[in-house]
Amino acid sequence: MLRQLLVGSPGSNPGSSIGRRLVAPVAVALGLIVAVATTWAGGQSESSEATEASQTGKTSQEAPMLAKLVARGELPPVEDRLPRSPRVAARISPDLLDQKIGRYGGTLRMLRARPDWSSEIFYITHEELLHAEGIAAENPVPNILESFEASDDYRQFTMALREGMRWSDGTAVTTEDIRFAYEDVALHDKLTPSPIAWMRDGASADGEAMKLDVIDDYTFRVTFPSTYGGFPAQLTRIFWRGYTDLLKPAHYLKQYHADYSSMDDMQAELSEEGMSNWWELFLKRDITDWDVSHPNAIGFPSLRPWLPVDSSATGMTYERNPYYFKVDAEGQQLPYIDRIDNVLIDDGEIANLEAMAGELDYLYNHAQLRKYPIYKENEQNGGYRTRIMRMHSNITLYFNFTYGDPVWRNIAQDIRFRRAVNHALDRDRFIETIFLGQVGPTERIPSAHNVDKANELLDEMGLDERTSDGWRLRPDGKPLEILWEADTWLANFGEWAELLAEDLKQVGIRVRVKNIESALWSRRVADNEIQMVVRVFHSPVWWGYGWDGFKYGGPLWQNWWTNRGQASAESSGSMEEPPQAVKQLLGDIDRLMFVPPENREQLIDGIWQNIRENLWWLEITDSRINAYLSSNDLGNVIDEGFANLALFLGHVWYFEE
Amino acid sequence: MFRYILRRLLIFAPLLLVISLVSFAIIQLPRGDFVTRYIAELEASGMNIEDTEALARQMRTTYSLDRPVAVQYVTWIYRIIRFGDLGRSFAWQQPVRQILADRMGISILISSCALVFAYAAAIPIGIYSALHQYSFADYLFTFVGFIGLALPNFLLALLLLFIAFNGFGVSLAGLFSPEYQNAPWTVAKVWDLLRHLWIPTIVVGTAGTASLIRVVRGSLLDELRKQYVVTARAKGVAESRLTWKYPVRVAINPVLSTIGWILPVMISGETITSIVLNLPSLGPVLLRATTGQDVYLAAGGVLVLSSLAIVGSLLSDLLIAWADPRIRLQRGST
Repeated sequence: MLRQLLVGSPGSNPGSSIGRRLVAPVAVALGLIVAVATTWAGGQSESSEATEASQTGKTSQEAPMLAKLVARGELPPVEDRLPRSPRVAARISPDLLDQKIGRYGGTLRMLRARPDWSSEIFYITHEELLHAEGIAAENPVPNILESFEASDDYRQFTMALREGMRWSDGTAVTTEDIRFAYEDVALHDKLTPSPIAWMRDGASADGEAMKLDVIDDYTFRVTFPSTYGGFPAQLTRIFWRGYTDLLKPAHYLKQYHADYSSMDDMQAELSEEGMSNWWELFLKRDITDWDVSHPNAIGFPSLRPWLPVDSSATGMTYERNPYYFKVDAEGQQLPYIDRIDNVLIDDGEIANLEAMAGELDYLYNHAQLRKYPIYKENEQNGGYRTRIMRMHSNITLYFNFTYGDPVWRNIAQDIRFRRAVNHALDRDRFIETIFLGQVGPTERIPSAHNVDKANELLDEMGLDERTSDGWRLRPDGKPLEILWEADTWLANFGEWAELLAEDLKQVGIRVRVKNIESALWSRRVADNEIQMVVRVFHSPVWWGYGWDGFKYGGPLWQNWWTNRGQASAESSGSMEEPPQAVKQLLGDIDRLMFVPPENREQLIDGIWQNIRENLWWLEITDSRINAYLSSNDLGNVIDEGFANLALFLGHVWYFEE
Repeated sequence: MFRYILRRLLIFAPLLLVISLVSFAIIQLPRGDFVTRYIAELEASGMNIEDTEALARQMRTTYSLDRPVAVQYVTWIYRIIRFGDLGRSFAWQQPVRQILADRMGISILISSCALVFAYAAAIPIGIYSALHQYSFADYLFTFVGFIGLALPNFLLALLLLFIAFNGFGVSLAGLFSPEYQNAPWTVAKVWDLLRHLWIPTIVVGTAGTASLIRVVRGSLLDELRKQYVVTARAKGVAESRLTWKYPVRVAINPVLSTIGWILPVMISGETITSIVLNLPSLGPVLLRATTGQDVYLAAGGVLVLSSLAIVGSLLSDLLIAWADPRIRLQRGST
């Protein structure tokens, strides 16, 4: 028997979808998953999914803006634009949002900080094949897909697209789009020179490629040689992935693919771009998830709620996608809001000013916690609300174990040193200073502040000699001094480093903090030139957001692991074999991706034990908080949950009267 | 004369080539390129990219950054000479020529408004100060003028923004309110533009105003002490006619001849003000292009600005040669 891992909302068309046939076991299957899975917050169950299933058979309604076009005969009626079983959105736990039925219309004013990238647009237009609300990508449910089933051994996955679903230009979405994206793009060595790991056995770039079988226009199946328990998670927002790896508008892109189109047809565009090879043009024309906010995306067929229509010196404009596949609980086609004005503002301070003057409806990435008092002060005038929400990451300190200085390496690799520093950190003071006492210290590793214990450990490991100023000396007689270079992309990094450096100075470790420009910093991290790092950190066992491995804590180890010790022309820089415990950790985290779900918990326990024992990095807080602003007129904006979740609900936001 | 112009024109082309080479090379100097900076910024806004190498490789292919720098330069220069095509900005995905054309208009609008403001304010004040030397008003204007000179433009911009926000609760940054940002031109949009334009006009104009006041005041004072004024006054010419007929006209002369150097000062003043005020003008775009290593835009911008400077200096040299026979003859005889 197949295990019905996930079931889509059944359509009004009887018996047409796999989803329909599987309605009965829904409750059993979901109950099972909830029991197995560790959700990030209690009560994030699938109850809202059950209500979704009951929302059928309503006549669809549409936005007045589109109704006009329909009346003029420029657009087909909404019934013909929606799939037979549209997705009922937004799926979010009722604890987080008491979702209201909205009204159509309005223009949302949001910010972009560069001409070619806007994280706000990226979030608000994000669509993925399966949707998982939680940060750990647990309990995914179909989003673009209508249904999804995993075989008992998690080697075979059968999926179906929504019949009648259309690209934003009106062309039907079929399995040909899947086949094209996989066989003609993902497996093409010119278009995808480095293999896409998640589509391969063991989620590894050198694994065998998955086998794709197209069953009919809407149903397809992928098969892996071995168990791949994390595959469902791979179709969710994991690593901020959208749908574009596996689903591309074939009808549009074929005109740029040499298998379907002749070079003569492409010549005009090639010479206009100054390119000589068709694949360069293809890569430029193919808008992937990272390109969604780019001016190049104008005119590219998509499945997103809003489409870019114009780009100018002052920003970009987006308009609703008339073929968007989601409806609200009353069957009204989403999104509610007609347009987005994505205003280009280079400077963060000006962005804040505009928001406080009520000229932006939403401010997320440029909002700063330390401005909280002035946000509150101007709420009345600006007509907005200030919210404080948790971020999905915490603050973590890393030592570079593979830094060029051998004496430093011996010290940092000594567990007593890490334990000593961990004791030296005054987390309460840090939290009080930076987060107004609103977050807690980390619970994943011991976090007791104990200066005596720290000194004792440092003395014990032979760092007991001191200079006349009280700084500790290294075994080679030089003062133990750390150059802590912080990059400037978050203005806070330097501030955090300064504060933490004070704690280290208390136990005789001299630390110099220096701010350097972000791009240079990134380059130096990759080149193993940074001794110590403070960073925001995502849990290694939260699939949804990936993690950085030993990128900061030991770039040479990380290189070794990525290349499995095999030097190649591709691998940049040198590498070094990590100790057994590090290999164990990295291996376990990779294994998380392909063990069956029932084995995950045990594996996760082992991972945390490894981290607790070895203190590979020192987590400071359990999370972060930040402020953000949203217009009083905006409905369906969440107050709780992780901050970035709010923007994913943009398609149900609406302007109140 | 003809040979002189010809020689200047002959230097023009190689000079531009050298400028293009230098500006192109300087932008390549920092480690990394546009793609590394773009990815760093993606990560900065909270994105975890699974395979940065693959993304970087894909982007380098689409932007043709995978070719050697020398090849990139030669291709670029070839297309400029052959098609007049300055290349395409990576960030804007628009032809560099179009970006520069769009932005140059705004820059010129702001600078010329500021220039008009500066003259309109400075000349009457300068004249008044000179005529009422050491009066209370003269001291007041001198005081204000020196503050205007000493105050950095961006600080003044911030102050005005603060006053507008605190006093009226509006943000006057930018040139348009968000609802007009991407709207077509209408009467309402023009009104909205005027509502925003006065801040940059005052901010950019102030520094120029302050120095102009001093120039007008100084030269008029010199003029007023000259013999012909004393003679005219002795002959009983009415005081107002006496002042306006000759000394003022002479005193304004140095002002007009310094337009040449006031203009560049204002355009560079415009850059930092535009960043603070979020104006869609040339300065911020070029700054962002250089820090983001958007090579063709940055190098193209520098190239266009340099050619303007070269043409400008050629024209002024010609004017001087035309006006001053000594220079003309000396050049012509060689």
